[in-house]
Amino acid sequence: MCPPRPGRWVDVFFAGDAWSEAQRQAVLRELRTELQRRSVQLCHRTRLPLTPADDALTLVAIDPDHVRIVPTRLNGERAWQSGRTMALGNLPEDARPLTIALSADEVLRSQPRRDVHASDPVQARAAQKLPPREYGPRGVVALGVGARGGLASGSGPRKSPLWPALELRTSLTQAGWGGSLGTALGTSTEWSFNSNRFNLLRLPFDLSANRVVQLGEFEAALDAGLVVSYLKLESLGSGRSFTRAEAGARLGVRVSWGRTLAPFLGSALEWLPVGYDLQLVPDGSVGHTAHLWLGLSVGLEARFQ
Amino acid sequence: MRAAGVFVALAPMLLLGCTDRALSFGDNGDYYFWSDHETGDTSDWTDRGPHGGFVVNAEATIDVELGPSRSGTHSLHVHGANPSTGGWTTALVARHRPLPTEAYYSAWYFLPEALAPHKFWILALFRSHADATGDSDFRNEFALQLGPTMNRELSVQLLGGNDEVPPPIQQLAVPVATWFQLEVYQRIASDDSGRLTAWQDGVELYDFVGPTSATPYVEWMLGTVVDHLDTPAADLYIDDAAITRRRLGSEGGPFTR
Repeated sequence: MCPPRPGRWVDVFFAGDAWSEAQRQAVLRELRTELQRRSVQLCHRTRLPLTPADDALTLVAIDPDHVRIVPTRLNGERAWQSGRTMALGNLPEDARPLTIALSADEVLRSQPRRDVHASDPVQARAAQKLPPREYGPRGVVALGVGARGGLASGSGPRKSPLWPALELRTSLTQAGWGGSLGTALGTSTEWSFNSNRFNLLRLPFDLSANRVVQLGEFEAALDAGLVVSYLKLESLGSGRSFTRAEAGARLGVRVSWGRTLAPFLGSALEWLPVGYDLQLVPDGSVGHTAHLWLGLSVGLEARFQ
Repeated sequence: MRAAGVFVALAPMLLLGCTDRALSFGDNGDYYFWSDHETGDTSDWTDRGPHGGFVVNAEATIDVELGPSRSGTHSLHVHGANPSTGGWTTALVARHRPLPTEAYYSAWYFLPEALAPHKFWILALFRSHADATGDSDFRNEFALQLGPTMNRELSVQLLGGNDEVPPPIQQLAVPVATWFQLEVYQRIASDDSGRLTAWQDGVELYDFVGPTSATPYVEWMLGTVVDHLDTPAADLYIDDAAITRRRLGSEGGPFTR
């Protein structure tokens, strides 16, 4: 039923033979999400003519890698002249619907408004307040505090406390894909294995592939990559210390809510296949460094285009 | 393609699995003294460290031998005790005074067969001297001894210098053909600030608060002082002996050099 509810709405019509049903549905889903941010409903027309909606779009798939977005409310040649042709060949399949939806939304917002907006000043003001949303390169700098803990092993009772760390992460994405760099800065902490005590300082640095999914102001980022950490271990029994590096894999997830400045909640798991066996005379092996590390963090991230 | 790239990057780690490389932190500073007897003789007791020691063999023998051992291949072997004719037999290794005012004393024991002392077999003994020279008369302060329980099992009992036995917190049967640990915490004092606590395999047996030594000049001795044996069994092995500033507990592994 079009329109589904009273209010502002947009007609969308797909043209061209290169659309698959899955692509159509994905574009509709993304565009519906974008329009909801401005309290605009979407109406999918399967055939012309379009009804007198506030706005109308025709999405023409010229071929599998090119889509033309036409503001159909304009008549005749003028309409086709004002459209936008998008080359999608460089984008992965799953990034195309969002890119098309963002671009369509931008085309709609660049059109002159009809009088109906004036009758709903609240909606008009709300729409004007929203910043234009871009699909170009996008950066995030996140700063937070967290707790990290290693699942250390050893004979007898052992204490592997969580300890606080300052988490810093920066990421750069385009169309939802990108990379991120991160670290966790903390002070040394004490580990004990069967009453043998060690001071441990660990500073991890990671380089990860980054996938960002947005749903309105909600954003989820998934990182997967490599981690290298600096280790300083000191025995409080013998006073001897070692400095070593360790490398492994990292999987992280961060969720946030907001626009340019957003609070986030993050978690990360690091797996280090090669650890260190801690030995003392005459005790022998008293414990091992952790092969698994778990981190939790909360903080604030700044998003910029 | 992207997934394949991630797999190629992680493949070396997956092939390696989880391994550990050794970091040797050297001598543990929590030990005042230790011996795993892998020197093959009693030199650890008599020579090692700033505090000396000595060996007493009287009617019985204590020496380091190849045989049952908790770590390595050697241990202290107490043998030859045959006091069936009456009187005491003694074979002890000792660490001299001055010992730390507060310390933990740990050793592991192995009985190949059940011993049958008529009254006692002293496993560990604390005694004091009037002065630091060690030439003066000594006084037995406390001992951990093997003694029969009511149901004829052997258990570890604490013996005071004036033959008063503090009540046990609990009594455990002493195992045969299995290494077991006795650990004692001693705070040396001639007044009520003294304390002596004993554990068998990590289980607390005794906790005594009061005078633990007439003087600060204390000796720690391991081996045997036995009054009478009801059966021919007379072998005892001792290994991984240590004086430490912290409690070792029974969960640590065998000593290594």
